[in-house]
Amino acid sequence: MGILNKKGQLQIQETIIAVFIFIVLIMFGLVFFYKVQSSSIANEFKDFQMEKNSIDFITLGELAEFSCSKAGIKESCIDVPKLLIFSSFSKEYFEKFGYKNITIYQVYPKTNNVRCTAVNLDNCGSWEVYFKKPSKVTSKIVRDAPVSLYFPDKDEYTLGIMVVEAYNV
Amino acid sequence: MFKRAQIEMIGLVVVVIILVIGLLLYVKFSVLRDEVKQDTASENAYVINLMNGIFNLKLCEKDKIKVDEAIIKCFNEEQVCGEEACNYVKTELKTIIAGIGIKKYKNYSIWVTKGDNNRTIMNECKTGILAHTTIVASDKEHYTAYFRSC
Repeated sequence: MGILNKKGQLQIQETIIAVFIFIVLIMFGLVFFYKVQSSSIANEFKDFQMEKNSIDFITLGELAEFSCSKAGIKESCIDVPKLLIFSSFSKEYFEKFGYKNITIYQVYPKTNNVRCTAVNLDNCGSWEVYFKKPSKVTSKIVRDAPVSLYFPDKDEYTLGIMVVEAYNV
Repeated sequence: MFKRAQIEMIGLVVVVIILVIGLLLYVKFSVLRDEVKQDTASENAYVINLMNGIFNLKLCEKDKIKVDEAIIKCFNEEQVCGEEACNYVKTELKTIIAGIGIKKYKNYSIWVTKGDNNRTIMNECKTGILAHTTIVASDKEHYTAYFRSC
């Protein structure tokens, strides 16, 4: 009877250990699955943000707030006087642009990189169009694109590069 | 004893199956990842913007003629700034492109067509991203200018 008792106890202990190990393996599997899913969701969100930034970026120069037109016909260029006016109202566009820094630099004909204001239009070469940086930045994406800049007072075109820095919080 | 061994074997098989499934999941998510998608829309927009920017620039101090108008003169074998239009436009475009200093693309091809006829101004690219635009001349004739960068 004593031997049977001990055998029974041993069997129970074996079963408990086997079940415990099984549960530990299941837990490892669940933790691993959770980590993989989290990482997958985070990657999908990053892809979504990059696509959204791409779309915003591609359509930036076509906004009515910047684009130039002649006799009501839209042209593929940016009206430079509009840039100065826009930068004073840029805070209203946070919902549309989010945390970004949008700057345009004139590259041809080459000029200095002095920031353009209403008083130094003839001797400047960069326009800070929109600036909103968060207090904490986890990462940023920087993209640039050529833009045609139109000076209606001189009826002249120059070439610029629009640099967009998109900040991730 | 025979039954006990069978039960032990089943337990072992279950553990091995769980481990194999875990390994397969690991291989799927770390080794067989999706390829990074290339953002072709942005690349195309870049080249289109570059083309529009260059074509809007004006050449020749005394004539102040836009690049797209000069391209049409090249097609029609006319002169720009006292020189043969195609050579003048080609030289000026090389100067402009060098002056812009874009590192993304090193070479460019530009040509213009009207109907079945075409005229090449620069031919540095066989492949690359292609953009085109329609230029309407002062005589209302339509030309198509192509711009390829590589």
